[in-house]
Amino acid sequence: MLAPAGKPSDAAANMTQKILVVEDDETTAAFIARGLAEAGFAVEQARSGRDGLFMASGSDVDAIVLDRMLPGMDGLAVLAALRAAGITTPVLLLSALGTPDDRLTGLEAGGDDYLAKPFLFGELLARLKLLLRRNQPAAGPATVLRHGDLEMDLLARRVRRGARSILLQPREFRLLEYLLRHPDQVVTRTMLLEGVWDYHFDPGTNVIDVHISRLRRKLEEGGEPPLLHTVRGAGYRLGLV
Amino acid sequence: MPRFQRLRRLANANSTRLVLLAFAVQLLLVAVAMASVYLNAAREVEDRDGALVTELRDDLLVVWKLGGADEVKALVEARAAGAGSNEVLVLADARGNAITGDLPGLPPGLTQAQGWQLLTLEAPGVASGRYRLLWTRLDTDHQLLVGRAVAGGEALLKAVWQALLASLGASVPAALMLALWLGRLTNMRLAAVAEVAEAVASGDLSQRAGRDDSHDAFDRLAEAINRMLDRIEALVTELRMVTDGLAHDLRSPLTRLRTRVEAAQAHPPDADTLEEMAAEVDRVLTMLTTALQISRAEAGIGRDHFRTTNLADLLETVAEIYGPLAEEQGLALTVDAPPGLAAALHQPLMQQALGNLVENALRHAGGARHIILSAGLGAAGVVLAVADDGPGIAAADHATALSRFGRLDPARGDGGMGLGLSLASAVAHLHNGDIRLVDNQPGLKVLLALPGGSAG
Repeated sequence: MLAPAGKPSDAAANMTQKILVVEDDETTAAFIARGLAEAGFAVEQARSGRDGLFMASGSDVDAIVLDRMLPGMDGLAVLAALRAAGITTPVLLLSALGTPDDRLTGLEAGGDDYLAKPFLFGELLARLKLLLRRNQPAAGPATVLRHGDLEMDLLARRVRRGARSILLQPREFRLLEYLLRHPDQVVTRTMLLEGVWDYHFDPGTNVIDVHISRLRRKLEEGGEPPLLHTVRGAGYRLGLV
Repeated sequence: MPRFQRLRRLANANSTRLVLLAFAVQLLLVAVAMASVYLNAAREVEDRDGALVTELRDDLLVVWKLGGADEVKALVEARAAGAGSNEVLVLADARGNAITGDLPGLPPGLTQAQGWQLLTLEAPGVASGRYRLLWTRLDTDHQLLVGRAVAGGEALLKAVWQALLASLGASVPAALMLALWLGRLTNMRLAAVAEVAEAVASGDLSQRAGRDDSHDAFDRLAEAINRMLDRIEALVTELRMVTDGLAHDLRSPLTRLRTRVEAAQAHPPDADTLEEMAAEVDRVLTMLTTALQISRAEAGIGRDHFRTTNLADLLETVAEIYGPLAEEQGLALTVDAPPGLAAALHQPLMQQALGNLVENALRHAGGARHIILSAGLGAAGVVLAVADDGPGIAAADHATALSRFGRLDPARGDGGMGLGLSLASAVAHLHNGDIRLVDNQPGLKVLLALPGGSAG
């Protein structure tokens, strides 16, 4: 997999995006850097908070993966210094502290997203891509979301696939809306829980799988091409291919 | 050197100081009493001797007035001859030479002045020693000296002094014994407490200090120590259960994982196997995270993240997430909450607590048809509840169910973690509330009673 696929919405992001990884643990840093490079990003690395702050404020970075526990200067202090300097680069906090409290503290300090260690790289990548896209100027509030032959009217709260009208329960509607807002992207289980329900406890695979399979049954009737895919070890993706 | 150190330690010991203090106070009291007796006795003896001398002088003056010099001379003569050796009588001429009496003349050093004079006499007629003397001029040719040996008084005082010393000698060992007994009593009662502490320190947590219900300082100390030991025992028991439970619950997924790794070493694993292995690891991690969260919530960490939250919305979210899974299992998951009810709470943790309770109901309420999430105003605040109509839990097992890693289902091997209720309990405590299990007739109803909250 190289640079993000050339979908029309990705046109602006086609040039290589630069990610700064601030992580003192060699193994984790190498693991992240290799994964990001394979996903088509340019990666810069810093081993301490001080270096991280210097590189984040000096060069043109699109997003920062910031470890919370750093030698010299704590991750949250780096974040606070960045935000105080008016640098709004999206920051994904990484932390070994996985409790809801630490997450809230991290977000309150100015983090855009929070991921507890140990994490799946798929989760990190999905969340990072979400942050990068969020950082792009929105094309005004959409009233209709489309992907392929699937169409969602947000005002009339109607969903159609081709000529067929699909009847969705409110929770299914919100789930599909979230997926339609992130087409062709891997969204993880926890991203769905957070994005759709603002729910911050991962109840395990089963709970969300049931949601997805019900939605899938409604989206893919008869011989229609599959639209909602399960990405092994990572999450789900809405897309025609 | 060790002997010196032992002495020093003894001197530094509080009990030794206590004994010495008690002893010193007793000694001081005895000394004061003795001094007072001595002084009183001395004054008494002095007054009596003085009175005798004055009386004799006055008698002689009367004789002088009635009978003149000859009468006095005869009387002094008779008296001096038969008098005890502790009395001195002299009738002297103008130059001080004795006309008659116990002395050859007025002793040198005697002044012709009124009042008592104290002189040492050494003459053949009297016992040598100190004398209290009274000098009187009768007329130009006659002087009279009357006196009495102080020795008699001093002997008395000496006797008193000896008696007092003897009593002091008796009271010193008595005082010492009393002080030692007091110190021993103190030491014994403290030693009893210390013995309990030693026993606890060496691992026997069941030991308790003896009480005598006197409510004195020792009794209160024993009571406080016992309360502390009760608390320590409860904490250690809980810790032991947590450790045992965690070890037990971690063992199963880790053992399964070990088996899979072994199999993978023999044959390259397929994607499904790897995913199952990842799921096992996730289970272990979730368990550890939850155990950590319980500890933090029980420690009160997270109160600064309380936000006012609409309870109906909170319950609707949980119901929405678990709804499809419940339906797959043939259960209806519904919400019963007034629209305006709100409370300040830790939203993520409360979501997790409710999620755990719903998961428990889904997992353990076999045969249930309905799970109801409800919110309402109780006596002390808001009450959140998760109720099912399954088999429920016997009232006798409620406490076991609430303890961390409590096991009601010995065959629990389906990934049930037994931490759900403990987490809900810890979250309730974080909100200064508590958790209660009640019989839903039929089924189990778990109540989270949280103080505060408001309608509107």
